[in-house]
Amino acid sequence: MNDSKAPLLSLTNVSLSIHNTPILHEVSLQVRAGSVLGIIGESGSGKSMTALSIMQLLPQGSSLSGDILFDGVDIVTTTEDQMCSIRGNDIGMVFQEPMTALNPVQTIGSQVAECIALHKSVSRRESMQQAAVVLEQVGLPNAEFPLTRYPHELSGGQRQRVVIAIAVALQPKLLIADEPTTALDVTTQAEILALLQQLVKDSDMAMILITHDLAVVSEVADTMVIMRDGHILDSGSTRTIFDELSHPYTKALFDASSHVPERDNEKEKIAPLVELTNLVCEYPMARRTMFGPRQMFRAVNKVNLTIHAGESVGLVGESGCGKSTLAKALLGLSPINGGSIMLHGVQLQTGVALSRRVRREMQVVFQDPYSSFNPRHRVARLVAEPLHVLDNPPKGAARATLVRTTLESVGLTGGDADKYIHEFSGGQRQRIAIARALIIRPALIILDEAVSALDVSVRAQVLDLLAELADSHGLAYLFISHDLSVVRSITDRVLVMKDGQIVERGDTESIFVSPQHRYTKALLAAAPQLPSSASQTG
Amino acid sequence: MLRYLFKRTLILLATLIVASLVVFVTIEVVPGDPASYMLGMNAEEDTVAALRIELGLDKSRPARYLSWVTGLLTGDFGTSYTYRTPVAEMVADRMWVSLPLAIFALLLSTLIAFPAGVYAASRRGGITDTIVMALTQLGVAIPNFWFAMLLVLLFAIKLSWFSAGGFAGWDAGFFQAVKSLTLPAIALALPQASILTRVMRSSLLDVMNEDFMRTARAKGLSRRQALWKHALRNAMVPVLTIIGLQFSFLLAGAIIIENVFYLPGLGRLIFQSIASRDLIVVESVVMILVLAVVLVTFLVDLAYAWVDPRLRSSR
Amino acid sequence: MKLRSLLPGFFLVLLFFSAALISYIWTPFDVTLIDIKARFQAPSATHWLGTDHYGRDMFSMLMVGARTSIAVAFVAVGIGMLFGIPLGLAAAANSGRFIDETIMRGNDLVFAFPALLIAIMITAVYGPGALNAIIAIGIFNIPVFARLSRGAALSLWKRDYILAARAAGKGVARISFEHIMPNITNLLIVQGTIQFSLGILAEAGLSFVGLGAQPPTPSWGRMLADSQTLIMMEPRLAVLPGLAILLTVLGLNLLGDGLRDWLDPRLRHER
Repeated sequence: MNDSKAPLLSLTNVSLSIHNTPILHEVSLQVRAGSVLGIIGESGSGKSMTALSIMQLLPQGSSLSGDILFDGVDIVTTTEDQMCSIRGNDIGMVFQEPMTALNPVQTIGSQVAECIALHKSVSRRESMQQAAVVLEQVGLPNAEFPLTRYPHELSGGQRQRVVIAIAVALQPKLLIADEPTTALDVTTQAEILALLQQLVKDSDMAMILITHDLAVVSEVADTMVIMRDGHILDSGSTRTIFDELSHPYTKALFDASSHVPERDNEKEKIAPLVELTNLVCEYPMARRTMFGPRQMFRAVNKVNLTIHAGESVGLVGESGCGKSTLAKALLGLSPINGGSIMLHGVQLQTGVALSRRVRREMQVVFQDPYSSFNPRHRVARLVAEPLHVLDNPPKGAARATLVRTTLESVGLTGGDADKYIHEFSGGQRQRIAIARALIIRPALIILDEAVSALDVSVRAQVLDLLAELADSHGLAYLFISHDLSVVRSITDRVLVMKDGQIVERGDTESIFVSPQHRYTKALLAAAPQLPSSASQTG
Repeated sequence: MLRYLFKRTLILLATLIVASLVVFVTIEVVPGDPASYMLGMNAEEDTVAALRIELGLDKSRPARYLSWVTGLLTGDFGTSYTYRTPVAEMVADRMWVSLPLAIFALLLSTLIAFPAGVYAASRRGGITDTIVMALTQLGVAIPNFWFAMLLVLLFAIKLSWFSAGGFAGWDAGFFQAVKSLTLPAIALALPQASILTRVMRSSLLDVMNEDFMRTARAKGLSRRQALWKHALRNAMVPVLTIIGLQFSFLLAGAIIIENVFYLPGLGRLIFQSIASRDLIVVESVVMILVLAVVLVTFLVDLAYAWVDPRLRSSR
Repeated sequence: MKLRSLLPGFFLVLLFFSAALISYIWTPFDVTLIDIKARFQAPSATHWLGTDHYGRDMFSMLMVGARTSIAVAFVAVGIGMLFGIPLGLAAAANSGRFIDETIMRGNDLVFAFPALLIAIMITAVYGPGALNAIIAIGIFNIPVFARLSRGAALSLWKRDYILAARAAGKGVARISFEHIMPNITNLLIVQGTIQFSLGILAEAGLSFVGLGAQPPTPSWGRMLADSQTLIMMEPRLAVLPGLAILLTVLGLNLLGDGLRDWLDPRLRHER
């Protein structure tokens, strides 16, 4: 860090309100050339708005006050024309959703070249040549990824590289990266973060990295600020902050990120509840030739898996490995093309129609708390939906009581039964989803990325709830996730899945402490780690 | 891309075949005996029998269908009973009125709607946008034949800029012919232009909210540059769909408008044929109109693939 | 909120629908009475909108014309919804399979025949009349609603709460009814008003060329056709029916727009 240089960017008492709703309150921060500033906060903290304020890309109805000084220029008073020559040229920005960040009808080459041609007077051919060079720099060699490719022909990680190429094509002084890896797999995330760090080092560029992941910040950022509700609560060098954890909110975030729920780990091995033997699931692929049989894609390739009553099993893997397909096959929502599923030692009929008796034993909690519920039904009706599978579902008053007690057991109140789902926050909705899964007292609950979309502090609470319910109700869990730290905190055994197959299995702790398979090792190495701190609990 | 083309061509052919069956069944099979239908209730038995043989009604239905379709493919549309002239001749003459009229109206509609829609979307919420929305709201509600009558009243009768009706004929010169199609084309084009403007505007507004527009701005593109270079092409797919649909409405509308302007097009032919119960003519003209509509749909499908590369690959 | 669309639309629609309903029991004058002596009268206290070339009261003619247009459009929309919505839902529930493909191709086929062509074909064989107009417009409405419901339902089938319902053991038909239908109702209502207004325009067009309701039943379209030759003498006879069509269609469109905004869940509930 060069203390002798003046900061490249400094925000002083920046306040923002949109349509008279205050968003940012007196935000002040600084970034020096060649260093990385991390902005950490949960959803709604205002971190993205801070970035948009620097870029002057705020929505209509915004009113901004305070000073934003970038390389001697007062951003707040610049005209739109002046900003246009700064954006892409002196400041580059990378956004969160790589899948939708690129124009689907333009080639990647022309999208990168456009940025170059916009700010430098070069011929079209020259701009394309320069674009080719930049794409090589970000890890997309021209031989494999010619400039004539379209975005839909690339994966999420590859698209994000193109977005980065656009952002750094003109070697800007500052790069703002707003949650650049949140939507990506663990290994891809590691690659992208490494790429960003490399770019910073190579051209002495400053970077602002916005994220909700404390572990990422601890590994990448030199300095950091912590935001909440539009305020900056804590700031300073990363090392110092993690060593001391002086601010209570910082400490709370840290604790939540490394939270391990208390569980009753004494479990005798009971008879197996669910056994998958040589399970195969296939999808027909889009036709490549006009005639001849359709090719099948094997999403699940001869998988063996056993879950015992009361045990919590984790299934980790990256996107596309087949874990969601497996869950759907187990629930009877997806057809099985080979192998068998046994429940309580009895084989289930293959095909999609599972008997009601079977559905009684298994329920599911999904990832997205916002699309898990029919927006037109009240909570009581939503929670009671699985009662359909019982032979004699309770009606009337008995039903209402059951709904009420179930809601109470997930930490909500009976009064919530009459509300609509849009009145609840993300964390509360997941609790309602758990209540829905719980109401018929299944033996197994499948949690498909159930906490991935939640803020860190909320996540910790939901994990506590799940642990407590497992103990009190004797539930078994199949915990599917790409987030290794979460899986570690709540499971007894773990299976690692790649390309439709299980590559390693074993007790959770032994897998995490001494992984055997190459892929497992790669996954664990790629995951960012929180530093152990003296003031850490446990 | 090839696979896409192949599939669309197959659908085109299949639609045409099924359509021809529908037309044939509706017009020749359902009325029972077309011959007696055409001649009316007071006809003599001999005349009916003679007509039956002339129309080939003594053959079986599938045979009649096949001979009709083969005739269509070779350009032989049969002979009109009322006029005793080959239908193909009558249709050819009339087609040169109705089709250019529909195309003229389509061009007008597109030329008005594109700039209006783009302008309104880029100035959303402003005074221009409100005016455009109000005008188009009115435009979609106007019956085009009524508007035609008003146009005649104002421009032909009061101002004498155009003639009140009739078609000068292509022999009288391109400009003269087009002039006599102008008022009808405007009448047809106005409601369609209003619809298209709204579709263009709303499609653009949807696209402007997409993430890649944000990336475009972050590159340093101004709002206007981002709209022209990125938003427009992405907004085209719904617009193309409407243009395709519009052609079939315009063709149908042209049939009605010809009544107001006394144009010798397919419309008058059809109505005269219905009045004189000349089923042969009705059958063939309907089939031609269906063919025109299906062809335009096919062209629109091709245009989709050109505009949106995602449709070209085999994914 | 966009109430400025909803209210004027609602009132216009109310005006014409009431006129249509009232015409069943009362009109100021009898529209079947021809009184040549009273023809071409200007608007007055007795004849509020004057008389036409046969001495018939224009106001009464317009009222009964309203009835014709609205009744035809109403039944046609009904046919479209009754057959189109179940087809669309069935197609979405069986996406990718044979029944879906068949319904899609069927839609394409009907779209190849503009409503006017269908009317022409039916009329050529069965003769003109209001019933044929209803059938022709109705047939054309079926693929409109089928396509709309299919599209909306397809995007809903992917939602997690549908998966949850399936995990609860509910069947396709039950899910279509309990979950899908209620969530596409708004869309269908708005499209219904649009198809209604299109139906009015279509009926007017068909009557204009003589394929719709036959004399002596008055209809706005035929009033316009009759006024064509008299337009120089008495423009009022052309302007009034056209205005009636314009205002009814405008009212329905405004109502549809207003309903769309009013029913939009994003505007009603905050996230």
